Amino acid sequence: MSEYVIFLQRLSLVLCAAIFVTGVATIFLRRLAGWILIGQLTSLKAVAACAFLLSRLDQKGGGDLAVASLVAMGMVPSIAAVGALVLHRCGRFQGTLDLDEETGLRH
Amino acid sequence: MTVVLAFLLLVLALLAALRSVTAASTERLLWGSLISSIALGLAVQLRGGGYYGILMVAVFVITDLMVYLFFRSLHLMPARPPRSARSDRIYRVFFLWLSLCAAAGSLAFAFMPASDELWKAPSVSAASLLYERMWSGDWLLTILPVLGLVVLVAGGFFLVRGEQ
Repeated sequence: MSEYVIFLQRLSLVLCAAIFVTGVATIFLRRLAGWILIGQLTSLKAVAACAFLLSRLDQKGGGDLAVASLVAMGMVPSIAAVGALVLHRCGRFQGTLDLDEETGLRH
Repeated sequence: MTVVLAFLLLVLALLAALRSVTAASTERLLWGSLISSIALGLAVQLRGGGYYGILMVAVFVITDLMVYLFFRSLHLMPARPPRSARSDRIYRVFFLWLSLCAAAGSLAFAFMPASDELWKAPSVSAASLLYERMWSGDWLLTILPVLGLVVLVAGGFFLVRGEQ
């Protein structure tokens, strides 16, 4: 394998990590509730791709990483569904987790 | 050739992800997220073959559409800041710490001379080398995020307790 291909493979791994950092950084840079969900989904997608690319490095021994990639891929729709339901139930999408207001409306 | 194409697709995925996380409307969020998902899936498909990349594209695109419809149907673009400024600060500092650890760890794995064997020795199991590096030689890279999580939980408990 040439040095050029190896260098591109390393850069590919760094790019996946950059997408992960983008997603995680969104959670603390854009502090509103909806962006927490977007940041989580973006970082999980990057983990799925990164683990699979790592598992391609060698013919054997990459099974664990391939499984990790599959788990991360499965977590993307799960996090989307559960996260959206929980955030909506908590009223975070209206901007605040205001349980007093919710109780007041109920009575 | 496939390595170069996959690399270009990953660059596109990064740019689209940056676009989606900085969007100010649900439509821009959808387009950025869709392009990012498709580029990631195609890059995996080019590097791995089989049906895995196609499966990844299908799962991610359906999720993106689901999130878009959820945001759109409820007019969701939250406007007010969180209620507890202190817990919000702890939360944000933790994710800043996590992202810094991820950046440092990935650069170390990709470019440090000690990880050359991971890339240049096709006869040796890459996964076992990775495992060995994480748990023997470079245990510090593993223990730092774990310690960060412990500090977050313990510190967060004591700091938020007074707000009840």
